[in-house]
Amino acid sequence: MTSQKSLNNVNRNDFVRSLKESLLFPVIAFIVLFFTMTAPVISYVTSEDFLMQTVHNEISVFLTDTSSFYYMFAEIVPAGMVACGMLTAAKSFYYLVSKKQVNVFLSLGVKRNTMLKNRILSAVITLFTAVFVPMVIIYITNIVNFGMSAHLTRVFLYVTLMLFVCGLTGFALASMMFMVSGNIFEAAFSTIALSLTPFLAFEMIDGLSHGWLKGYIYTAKFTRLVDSFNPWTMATNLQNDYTGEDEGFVNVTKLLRPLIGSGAENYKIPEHFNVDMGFFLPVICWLVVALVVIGATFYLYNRRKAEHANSLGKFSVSRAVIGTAAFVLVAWFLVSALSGSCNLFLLFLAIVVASFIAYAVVQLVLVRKFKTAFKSFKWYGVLVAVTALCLITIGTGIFGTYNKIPDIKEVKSVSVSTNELEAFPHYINTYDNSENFVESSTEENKKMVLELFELLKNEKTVYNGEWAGEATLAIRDNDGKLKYRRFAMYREETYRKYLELVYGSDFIDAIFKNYLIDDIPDDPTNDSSGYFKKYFWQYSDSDMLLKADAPFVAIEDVDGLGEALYKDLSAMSVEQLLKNNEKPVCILASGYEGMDFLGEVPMLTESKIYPIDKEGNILYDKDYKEETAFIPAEYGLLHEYIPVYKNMTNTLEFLKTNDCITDEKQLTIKEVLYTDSFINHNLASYKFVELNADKNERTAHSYTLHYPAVETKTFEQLAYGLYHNQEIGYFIDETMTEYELLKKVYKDIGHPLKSVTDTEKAQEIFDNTVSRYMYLGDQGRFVYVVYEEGPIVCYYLPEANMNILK
Amino acid sequence: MIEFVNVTKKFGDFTAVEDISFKVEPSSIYGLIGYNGAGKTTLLKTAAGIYRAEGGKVLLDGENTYDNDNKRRDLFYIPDDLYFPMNANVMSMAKFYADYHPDFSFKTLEKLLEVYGLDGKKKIRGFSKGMQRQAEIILALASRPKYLLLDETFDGLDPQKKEITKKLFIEYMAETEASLIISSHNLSELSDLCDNVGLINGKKLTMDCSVYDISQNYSKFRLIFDRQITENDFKDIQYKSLEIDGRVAMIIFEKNADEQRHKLNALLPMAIDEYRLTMEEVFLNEMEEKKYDITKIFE
Repeated sequence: MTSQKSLNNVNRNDFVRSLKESLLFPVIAFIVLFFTMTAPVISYVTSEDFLMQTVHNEISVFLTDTSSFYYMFAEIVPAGMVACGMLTAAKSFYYLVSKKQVNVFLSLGVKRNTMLKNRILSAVITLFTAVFVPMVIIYITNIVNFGMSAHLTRVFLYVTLMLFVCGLTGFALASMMFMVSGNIFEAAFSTIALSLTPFLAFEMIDGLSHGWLKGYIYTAKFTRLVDSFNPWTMATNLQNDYTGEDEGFVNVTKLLRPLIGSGAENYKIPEHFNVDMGFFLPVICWLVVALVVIGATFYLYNRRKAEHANSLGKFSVSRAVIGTAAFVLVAWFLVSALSGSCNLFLLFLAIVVASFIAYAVVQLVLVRKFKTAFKSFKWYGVLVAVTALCLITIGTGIFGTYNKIPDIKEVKSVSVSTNELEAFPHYINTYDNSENFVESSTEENKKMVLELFELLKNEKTVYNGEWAGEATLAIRDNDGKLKYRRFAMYREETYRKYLELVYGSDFIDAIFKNYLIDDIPDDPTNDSSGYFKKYFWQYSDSDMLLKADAPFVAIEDVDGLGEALYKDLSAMSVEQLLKNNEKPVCILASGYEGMDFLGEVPMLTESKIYPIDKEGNILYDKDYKEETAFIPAEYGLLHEYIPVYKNMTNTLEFLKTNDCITDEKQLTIKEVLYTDSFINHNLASYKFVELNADKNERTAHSYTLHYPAVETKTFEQLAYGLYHNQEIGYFIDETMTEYELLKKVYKDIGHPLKSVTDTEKAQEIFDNTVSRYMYLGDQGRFVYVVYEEGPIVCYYLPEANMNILK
Repeated sequence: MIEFVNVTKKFGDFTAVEDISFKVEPSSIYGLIGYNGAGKTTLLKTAAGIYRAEGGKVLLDGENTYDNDNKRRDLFYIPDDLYFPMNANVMSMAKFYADYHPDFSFKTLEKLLEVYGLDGKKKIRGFSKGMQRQAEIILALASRPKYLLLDETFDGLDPQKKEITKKLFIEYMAETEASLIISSHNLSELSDLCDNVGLINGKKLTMDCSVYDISQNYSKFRLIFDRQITENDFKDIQYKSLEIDGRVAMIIFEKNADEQRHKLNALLPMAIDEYRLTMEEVFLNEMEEKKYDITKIFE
């Protein structure tokens, strides 16, 4: 009989062999981590630049100098570790899917469980070492150069644990799927399917909620939830928006490359990367998931039949996993494609039919027998039932609980979006993945928001219909718990009612006060107060509307300006706020601190107008370069404009007192152009571009935009004047003037512009136009005013004033 | 001793072998015979602990072989389909098996390499099929197992190496009191090697006896008559098989040869000769294969 000693030796030998077997990919990971993270840190602290510095009391570059070649690795390293874990599992358990190797390994004198234990332990050791060694070198390097710090230790622990858990999770998932796969391809497909299906399922639920759950709003919490079910992104994106949008989302890639957008003096881990349990939690969750999956691996390993090596479709689990992935992929695609365009029952039918085909194809490919494939359809039935339950849950608003209006006594404070105040930074009170909004706890506002809630939840959904508007509500209960709801408004009367409720309440005053008067809080990340004071402000007289080179004048007393604006705006009526028929006499423009616009025109050279859809999304195709397409968006973020009207006496007085206002210049109207249709510049552009889709002339409209043409809202919003004053048309014809281009665009879309050259008549039309107008249901005309001095400015002629055109 | 106790192995709905029982004593070589696909490999893999039997069990000296690390350390299975890792040579494979077989002898390995004339440092994947099989046999014998399972082991070996291998197996068995099971469909390979043979036919073990018993149990006679004869002439005789070619008849009996000879003499043949049955003939008779008339296929 074989002695216990020899048994132990054999088990030990098997462990050593499996350790060697699992080395390859962790070694590659180690090399990559070392050369992309460790080496740059060592290189930095030994560089001449570093040695020349006199103060070394901060934690320096934890991982890498992101201005270097290694920048890109921060993005892919966590996902790379997941892949590394999966490949290590493939190497460790390939013997199970190879008929030849099964004969050798399973006839060896080692218990199956021992064999499995050895391989798992080997992978854990090699994966951990691959991460730990390069990270600990960085850690020690930091300690040696900058001293010990609790923050540094937390970052080190987090990054090490996160990368290790990425690898371990990949390894665990792939190992489990190897236990229920006949060959390497089945194992690979089922592993990828398993790792992506939960993510796709959550994406699908989100898509369903977006399209069919009334009041649903995508929040950062949901982002975290979705990402947390995806091993490929769990560590990379889980911390998105962790510290709020304003600070830029913080995620692990920023930890890996802390220098993004930072100056050279910031060679440290920013302290606001508060690596607390919020960071560790998802990693620990995935560690638990990995351990549970490893437990399942043991169970499946002991049930695995050796005769299924080198087979396909013999295991019902992998067939179900791959089938489910096909089902969910099809369902997700349909939900995305049909979102908001049909009712839930039609969607359900589409999913049932399309996923049946996908599922059947997958099963037939796997088993190649109708009879066996047919047996697998029990699982398909389960998937259909789950889908039906999901759709019913969403269709009924989670059985009526989602939009249940709380009792006013249970409400502590409320808030509502005020996007219609276009004169202000448009992200104020919009709730986009942040909690930066103004709350009011007055009884009047509580009632107003609850009434609005009732109104909006009962708004009938119009599939494929245009929205009149959109509103977001936030209701905080006495326990501090927030309820967000975002509703589309399809009917104009609902939208009007919403405007009356919100802008007729004193909530607007609270907004103005918060924005203009309140001081910047200590922690600006979770409070929108004092937004106005975060900017520096500049003044331009009305010439700004007409001349590209109009200078700005910096305003030093921002506090005073804010107070003056608050007095004027809070005194305005709803009509004046939303439908100001006045033409502004001057504008105030802002920039972020650090951007020097003084003495310069905030123009966007070479910018282009792109066709936008009804929701304001930029439409572009392959002809557009991505970086070009996003220029207008960046520009919008960097500048806010506040128009100043004649009735804003306090503001005008302030500007005069501060020597900003100079003499107004009067320009001479030469001609007025208008068309026979209610069509604005964007729609004209859009139609024009469609006409020229095959002629590579999509970028015909090229000019610099100034106030207020930058914002090009469509139906639901305000009509802005549109201003042109730049070299034009070089994509169509180098010699074509802006005037000629304008006429060409409207002519080509079948709505040629009519011309009024009689100066008196032209002036009369101009006098009846407005620069901003809420044209809900208004079928007025967009009018282009051509000045003797060159520029062309777009105004809106309301329907009520259209008689002037006769 | 290797003992099969009512072993049944199924692959899904398909039953490969059913209720098979036999023993392989120490110091004996058991030949497992059967058509291609009869279930020989299935039985060997079950004995090696690779497959789990749906019914019954395989015992190695009284202990179940499945997931038995203790007993399987004394077992070596040479499959029909050999596995050698990329770049492996005999020496590296020897180190591999030495890790799992505590009695592995490098001294024996060297001697066997010399006997077969193989270079232990050459890549095995560069070997011919026969040489790869020799390499595996060398590794198996150097592992010094108590239980050696060999699946179609002589495939690809040249006659000289076959003879060497047979002698080595006999020598090894005698020296170590090991139990060997050799599966084959080539009966001539087993007839001078095995002590006992088992025949698998139709999922079942239809014959399990010693090679000596086979020669004793079957009798074959050639009879020459002075007249044309028909099957009708043999109607009172209980035979295993009968072939008639004009005036010549070949007849095989199972057991009671003396009694049958008496009946044959009563048919008054001109001459009567008795032969010893080869194992192949026994095998073919036992399999009762469906007889096809293949004479007209190419007309």
